[in-house]
Amino acid sequence: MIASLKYEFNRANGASDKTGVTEMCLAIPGRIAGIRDGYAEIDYGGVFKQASLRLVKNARVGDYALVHAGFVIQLLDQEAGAELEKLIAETRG
Amino acid sequence: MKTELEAMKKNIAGLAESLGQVTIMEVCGTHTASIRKYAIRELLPGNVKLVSGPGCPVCVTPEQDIAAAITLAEREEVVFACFGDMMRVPWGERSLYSLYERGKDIRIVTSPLDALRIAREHPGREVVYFGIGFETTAPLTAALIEAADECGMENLSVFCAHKTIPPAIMQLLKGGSSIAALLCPGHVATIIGAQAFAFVADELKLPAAVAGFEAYEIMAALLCLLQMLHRGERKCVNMYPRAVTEQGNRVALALLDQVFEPCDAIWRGLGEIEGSGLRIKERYRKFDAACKFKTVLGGVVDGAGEAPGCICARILRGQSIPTDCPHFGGACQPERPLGPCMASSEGSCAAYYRYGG
Ligand code: SF4
Repeated sequence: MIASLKYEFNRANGASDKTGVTEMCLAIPGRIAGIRDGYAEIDYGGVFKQASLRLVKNARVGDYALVHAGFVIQLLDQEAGAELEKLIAETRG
Repeated sequence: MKTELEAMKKNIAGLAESLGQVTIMEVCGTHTASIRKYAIRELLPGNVKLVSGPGCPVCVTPEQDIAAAITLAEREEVVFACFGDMMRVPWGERSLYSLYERGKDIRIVTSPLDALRIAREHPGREVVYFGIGFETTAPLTAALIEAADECGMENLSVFCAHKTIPPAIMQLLKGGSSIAALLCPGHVATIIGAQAFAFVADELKLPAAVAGFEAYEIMAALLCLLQMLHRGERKCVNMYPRAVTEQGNRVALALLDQVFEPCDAIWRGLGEIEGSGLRIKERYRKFDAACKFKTVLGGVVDGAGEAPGCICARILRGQSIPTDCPHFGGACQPERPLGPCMASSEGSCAAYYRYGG
């Protein structure tokens, strides 16, 4: 119901959000597929959307980015999966 | 992944055996939703309880600001732009949605930059963007204001109700409470850094873990918190290293500092908290809707808007859960919410409703 309501709002407002996300707090990871004029083309597994690069430095094509409301808010550390494993192992001690 | 979850579930259960009743607070709307969605509570032993704090930005926006937003949105010359979650928050009989139904020009945006586009498309109208959210969202509004300034926009302003999380946590937990540990908001920490939550361990003497949003990441952070409780340690651990660094996002922090300065702010459920709000700096004052529409907003009265019996305030303080509310699921539902915690998809009541109370 909420989803359809949002869809209706979006349509009424002329916005087309293919990821279906209108919740304000969500941040979603995607891959940077291209960069032009301060914007990145983000690939969310086949769905592409633009995001501003105003809040990050040194973004490169191929990087994984955390995107929130039209902005890349952080470049994701691809090595960190192993780091979390290490942290969990330490926790188990 | 499934077996990893099972293993963590066992670890947590083992640790919890040595502990009494443990209440862990989370202060992030997305955590609230993820915890419900992945049924994390069902993976925890009976003596480990999770409660939400003031982590949903729509929910903590006080009545006064909702009233002001509605007052602005009602004006003939105004095109009002906001996130969709704000639309159904009631103020008495009214909400932004009810204005929208009556034909007022209200646009739902998915990015603050949409407001810039709308302002360009409607040079004869006054576009007002409702800036709400914590440190994750505030830099985006800062970028909007910077961009509006760079292109000399005259018909765009921001009604700024942005807030910062650490002062609210401090205020809520400083006098002692039943909260034993804190699950820190991952996306706020993405911007302000894990070190910004060190005060939870150092000053409040509570274990703290910055957490991501996958079931696996939340369980890992909970495991870390229980281990600290078990060992008697009080540290702030970054369990979301994928996105969070110690210092945070310096570019975003610099932009925040360029556009905003701290101010006192009122939170629903918590009252006024010193230094917990963000106000637009003098240099960008002409984009501040509170200044631009000063005469209009001067007369807005507060109070009398909250639905009788709604316990959002208690929920935001972590003192109640949605199912404690007599209206939950009956008189109050997402399509016709009585309070903001049901109106916002990230509110506790909405999360409980959606994924089963
Ligand atoms: S269920 Fe509705 S009335 Fe009850 S606390 Fe939640 S928002 Fe308020």
